Amino acid sequence: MHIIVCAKQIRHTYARTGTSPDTHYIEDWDGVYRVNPHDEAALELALRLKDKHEGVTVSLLTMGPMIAENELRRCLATGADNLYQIDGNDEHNPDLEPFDQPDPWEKSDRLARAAKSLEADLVLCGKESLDKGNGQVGALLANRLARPFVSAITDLNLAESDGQVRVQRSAGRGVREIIACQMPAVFSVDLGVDLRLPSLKRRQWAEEYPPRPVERDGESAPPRLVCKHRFQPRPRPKLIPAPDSRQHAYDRIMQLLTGSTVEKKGEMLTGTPESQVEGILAFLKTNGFLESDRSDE
Amino acid sequence: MKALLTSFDLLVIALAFLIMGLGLARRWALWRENKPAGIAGNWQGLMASVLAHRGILDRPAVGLGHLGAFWGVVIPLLVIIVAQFGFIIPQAPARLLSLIQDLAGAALLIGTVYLLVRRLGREETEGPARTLLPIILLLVIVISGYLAAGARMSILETGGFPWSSPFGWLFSLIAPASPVFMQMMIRLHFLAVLLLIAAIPYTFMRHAVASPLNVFYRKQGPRAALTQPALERGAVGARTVKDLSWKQMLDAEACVACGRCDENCPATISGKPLSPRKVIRTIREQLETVQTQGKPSGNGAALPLLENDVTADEMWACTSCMACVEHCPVAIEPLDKIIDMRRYQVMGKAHLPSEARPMLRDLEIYGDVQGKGAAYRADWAMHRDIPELGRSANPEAADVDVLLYVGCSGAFHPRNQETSRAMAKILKAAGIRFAILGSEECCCGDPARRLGDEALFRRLARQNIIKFEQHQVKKIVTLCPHCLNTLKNEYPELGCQLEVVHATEMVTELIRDKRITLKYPVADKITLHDACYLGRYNQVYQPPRDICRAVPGAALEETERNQEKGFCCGGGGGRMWLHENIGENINVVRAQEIAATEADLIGTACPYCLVMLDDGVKSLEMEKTPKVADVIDIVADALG
Ligand code: SF4
Ligand code: SF4
Repeated sequence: MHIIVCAKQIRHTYARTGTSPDTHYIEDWDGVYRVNPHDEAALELALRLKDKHEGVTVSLLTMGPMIAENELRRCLATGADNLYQIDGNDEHNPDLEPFDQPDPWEKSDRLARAAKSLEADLVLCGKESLDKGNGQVGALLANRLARPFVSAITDLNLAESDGQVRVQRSAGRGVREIIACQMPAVFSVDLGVDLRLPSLKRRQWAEEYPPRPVERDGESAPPRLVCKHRFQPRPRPKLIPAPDSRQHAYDRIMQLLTGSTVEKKGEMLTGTPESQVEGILAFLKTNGFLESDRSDE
Repeated sequence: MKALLTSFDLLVIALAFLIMGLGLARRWALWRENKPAGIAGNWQGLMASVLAHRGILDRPAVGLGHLGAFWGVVIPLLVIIVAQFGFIIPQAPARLLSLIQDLAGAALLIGTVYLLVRRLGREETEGPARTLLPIILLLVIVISGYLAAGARMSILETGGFPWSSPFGWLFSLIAPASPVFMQMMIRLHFLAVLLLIAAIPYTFMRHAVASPLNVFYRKQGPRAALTQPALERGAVGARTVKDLSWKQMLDAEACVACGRCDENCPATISGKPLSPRKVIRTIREQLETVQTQGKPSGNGAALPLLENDVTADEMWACTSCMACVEHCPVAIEPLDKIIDMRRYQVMGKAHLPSEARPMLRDLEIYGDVQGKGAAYRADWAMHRDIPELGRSANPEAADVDVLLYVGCSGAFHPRNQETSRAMAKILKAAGIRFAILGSEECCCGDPARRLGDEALFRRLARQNIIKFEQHQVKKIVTLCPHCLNTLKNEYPELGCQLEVVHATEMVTELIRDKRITLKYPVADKITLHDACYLGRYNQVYQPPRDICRAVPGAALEETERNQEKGFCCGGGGGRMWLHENIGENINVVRAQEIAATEADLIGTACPYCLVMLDDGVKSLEMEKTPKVADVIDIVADALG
């Protein structure tokens, strides 16, 4: 069985500490390059299947330039057999110019062609990506391949009895569903399982591994969705520490006047659970959130 | 004795030495395989350890017992060797020699009896035959020797009390005046000596050879720096004993099972399954198995795995506090073997306790243990006018005397951020030109390294080294002793030689040079907790004490275990990120001990200790919980 796991390399921008509006207040150090965590979870599910059954091959499929090469190779090292790359030479920088990322329609087309040429029995991808969050590619991919699709799965097993797969997905509100699905199929995977650690030997092997290009046959589907504007959130409110209590009053006031916020200081309750509960009750009573016992008298 | 040496005797002697030599040679063959060329020995240490029993005498009773036994063997041995040359010795010195020999014998007798009694009552680490046999042989030797001497005196009927051999005289009272008996005793004496010699490699007595060797070859240079495995050549820590270095094998041979490591190991004391002594014993037993399996260079197929005998619970319980290394009288280091086993688990088998995985992953992606990210690394310094080498466009800022390396705790943990600010305040008050790396700093790599992920450690270290070079850093001051240890002792191996000092060292200097003055009292009674990585790892014991003494109106009260004997807080060696669900919590054990000093302020110099002890004292639920503070905080408070 050949399982393809789509792995998207993203730049995850987690902070905005810059000062220039041209870069949307984003500096180099405000982001990290990594593989989309949902895709990592998908890889782990594939690897677990490989552990349990003979003859399972797991291939990673990525698209675009190697912006998160280290992390992608780490994924490879955890136990995948191959790494295929579509459009390795694209000039896209998916970070600061998110417009340049192909739209889900186009992406799914390219992935579908690759999956066909690689003769995949099972295609797994992340439920969504951390940088765009469209959550469409999986479904579109299934459509293009004319295969059944289950979204947001958290577990994957092969039933010996009927040769079908059993997937688990959460239907919200704590409801879980086990779904039997015919092969070949496409699943999108939700967060849940953590990708395993790679051993050093595998890492060294993955370091040397040359990604295998997937040839593009013919023109890909033209984009149907175009993102017109992308608004970055406001720069994060500056976290300003409370004035240093060791400072003189004058300095403290100056620091407050120049725009600091004062952190509210709560009281940390410690001790046994019982004494903590008592502390909470006392707090609620003194502040009028709870009627105190005295009113019953 | 000379006349007694017939050719038959010579044969027996040769045989004894042959057996001993063979035994040692087989061990040697095993060690030699992994022996690096040209390692230096240490004569001074050897002399101090062997002749004066430095280290062994740390425990007076056993130490004296051993001292007696040691000299009780060596002196008569020397005398016999000298006697073989048949000098004509004048009467007086001959008598003196005889007296010395007599007394040495007595020392041996008392020493061995004491050691025997002590051993008898113990749960043994080696089979009784192997430990008790040599001691009993020693007893046989000394008693038969005295009986022979006593018999001779009875035969000669010298009369009166012979000053040159008082103990021999005592024995002459019970020894029959029969030449046959004397001959028998001499034969017995002779036989026992040869047996003992032959038994050296096979019994506990091997320590007589291996321990001095081990002290001789004790690790040079920084004591606690771990050695780098050759990752490129596929070395990933210790899977079997064959992966250990020559010195590590010698360590295992040299162990005398005295148990001092166990007595000081926080893991053992708090009821974890780890016992450094058992780790060493396991390695020695496996070495013996490998040896009996035949050729040491055989295919590694059937070799026993270390992890079979040292379980995960054991190897992950170590806090890397180095107490075992500090207290071992014969310079054995259980610590580096434990780390090597962890390395194999993590890098070889990709096994790591699940609770520590997110931390390593954060280190991989974000470069800090909390996973907050480099962009937030300088948040603690915001609006405090602290120059950053990394971001500042201001060229003036780049020209500084010292780089303040904050470390992950100092940058992100709210409690430790206070310490960072306090340090900045002190440096400013003293007018030191300093800067931080800001978002260009990343974790020093210590947590990854102690958890066995050497590859990650190297990556992080290289990142830092590149930044140090880029900004032409000359001197670094660290807030965290763990950073201190890695930067100072472990980065040199990666090609980064810089002057690195700990904040307490620097502040002590500032106080001494009167560049800052502590004006305000902060507490009446301060006690100090020694951080392992500052104290045992780097011998910085005095500076925190000097600082506390400089605080006006404060009395310094030492804890029960302090300085070299200091007890770990339980947070080192990656334990900060592992669950502690066996036995007592180490930090609580330590907190109880500290609370006994009744100090109202507990000073420490390590961010881990601060957090662990704070948790510890709070869980004691005392009437008045003492405050835990970094000594740097204390200084900043006292500055006003
Ligand atoms: S390792 Fe050292 S301290 Fe521990 S039992 Fe052996 S000789 Fe004693
Ligand atoms: S380093 Fe500390 S915790 Fe680890 S074995 Fe030695 S004494 Fe025990």
